Amino acid sequence: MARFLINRLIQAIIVLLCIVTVTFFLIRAVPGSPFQEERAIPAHLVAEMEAKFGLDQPWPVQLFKYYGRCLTFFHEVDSMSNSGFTIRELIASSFPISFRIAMGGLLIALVIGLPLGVMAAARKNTWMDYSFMSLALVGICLPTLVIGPVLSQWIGIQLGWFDAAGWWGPGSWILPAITLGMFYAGYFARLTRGGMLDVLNQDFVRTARAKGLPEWRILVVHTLKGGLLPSVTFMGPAIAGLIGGSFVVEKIFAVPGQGILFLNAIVNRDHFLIMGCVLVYGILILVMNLVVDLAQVAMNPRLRGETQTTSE
Amino acid sequence: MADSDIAPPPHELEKGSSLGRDAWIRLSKNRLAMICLFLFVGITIFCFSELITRPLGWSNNPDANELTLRSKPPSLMPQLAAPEDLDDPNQAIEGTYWFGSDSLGRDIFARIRAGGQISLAVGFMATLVSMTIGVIYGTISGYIGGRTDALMMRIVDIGYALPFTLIVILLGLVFGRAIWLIFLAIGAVEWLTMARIVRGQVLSLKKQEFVEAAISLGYGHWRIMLRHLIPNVIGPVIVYTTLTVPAVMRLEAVLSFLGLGVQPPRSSWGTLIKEGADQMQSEPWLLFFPALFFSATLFCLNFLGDGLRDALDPKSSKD
Repeated sequence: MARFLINRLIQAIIVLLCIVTVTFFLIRAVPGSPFQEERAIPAHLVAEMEAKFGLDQPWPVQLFKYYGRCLTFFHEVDSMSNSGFTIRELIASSFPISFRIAMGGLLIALVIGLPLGVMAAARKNTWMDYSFMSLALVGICLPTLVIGPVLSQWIGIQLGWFDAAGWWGPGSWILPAITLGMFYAGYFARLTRGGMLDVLNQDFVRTARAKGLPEWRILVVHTLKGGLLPSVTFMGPAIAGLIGGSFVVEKIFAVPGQGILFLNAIVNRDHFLIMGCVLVYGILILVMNLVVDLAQVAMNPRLRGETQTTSE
Repeated sequence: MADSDIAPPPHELEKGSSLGRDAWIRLSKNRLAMICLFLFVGITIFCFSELITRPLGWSNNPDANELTLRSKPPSLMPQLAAPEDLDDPNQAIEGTYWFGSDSLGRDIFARIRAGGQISLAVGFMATLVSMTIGVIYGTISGYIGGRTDALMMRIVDIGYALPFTLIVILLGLVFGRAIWLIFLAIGAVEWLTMARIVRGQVLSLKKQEFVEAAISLGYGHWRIMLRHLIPNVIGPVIVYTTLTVPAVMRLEAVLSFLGLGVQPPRSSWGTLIKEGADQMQSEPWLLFFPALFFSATLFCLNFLGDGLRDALDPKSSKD
């Protein structure tokens, strides 16, 4: 176990190093400069700003300075466009919002997807199975771009149950989370159904049935753990997708989360803020993948021998 | 599929039947997958036939805007411009908008066809790029094996941990003006799963006798990879490719929705959905029709992928 964790830690450091380097070169490749505004700024001011943020130095020096800044997580580094705020403050104010939406989406995906999948598997090839699986496909095929505006309009404005846009309080995260979770709910339902059917076809289930166990007991006690494994494996990519997907949802619902922060940073060519956002997303994905891997090992005894599980 | 494991009639067994033919027979028995296949081909023809009908004048120009005919609801009948918009009251301007027109008086029917060309092209080109990279990478990694394989797969692991969406957005920004480069950028980040699938297949294939035979005949590594290994992984590759196309189209739509993908005057289904979402209250048809086509395409490709999986690999069939 200790070896597994050390391996993952080394891998995490390499990943973060890659992320910072790739992002550094991408930012530099993007046309435009952070100090380009509609009004022409005097050249000496631009030079002064570039000197302040170290943009006048040769790129290897800049790259190593980035590494240093990332180590301290942009401690005391000012945002280029939003002057007066440090990168840390900006991210600290917007990140919890995005995180809550992403986790809300995951919660909704699991709460809807897993029971649908289990019930569909339990009643295989009945109208229940077909209707649940069609529902799951609707969730997968309806793009977020369509679900979002329709929900905002219908539930938010016409029915007025939850906030249609903005970030006002506890009611605000529900519609974004539903929008985000629909796709994954469908996916989880399909994976769970497949996983459950695999387990239900095994010999020990037949034995359990032959011994006269009630069907619910077979489902809940004997098959559920094995049947949920594919869904647990998919949690890693799902969380990465949810975190990335919160972008669009934030845009649709005008939620001041990190996606919006990132998009604004891109529009303003705010090098440090872009880097900070990318880094936060990268760390979040790494942590979540680790949690998912540990959960997988905990649920599947066969994986316990291997210390080198990789996230699918 | 319940009917996929029915043995072919005896006379066909005698004739011998190729893997591809078997798969096609199984696929054609899957009614839903066939409906999806025809629907998808239909949508593709519908979109790309615009390239022929527009020059011939049989369909409206997607970019032509008639301001006097703005925001017309969908109708099969020709609609007249409102008299107050006309300079000359005696003059009559009319236009037929089956799917309605937008606030600039552009024909949504024509715009969906033109947008579909971009969306489908992005989907296919990016998938082609990702398939090529993934197949080559996976084959090499699986064939060489050992430490090289471990290293190459570690790189894939690292790729999985990168924040995809953010990198695609940055790539989209770098290549913003050149739509072909967006294909490349999306393809360049979507190849990881393909590489993993192919590598797994090659690992098990290379232990089989026919590869041993090829090695003992003195064939080179490239020849073995290209002629013996890759043709044998084509089944899973086709299945996964079919499932990658909708994922790529989704990504393209997201990029366009954020204003970082396809730029005006070009439009894709993503940009049309964005415009529709902005005016959903007053002109719901602007959202409805692009969303319908986009969802239908995703639906077809997903079902087709499932059907192909059942057809090409009956053993892995889940139901």
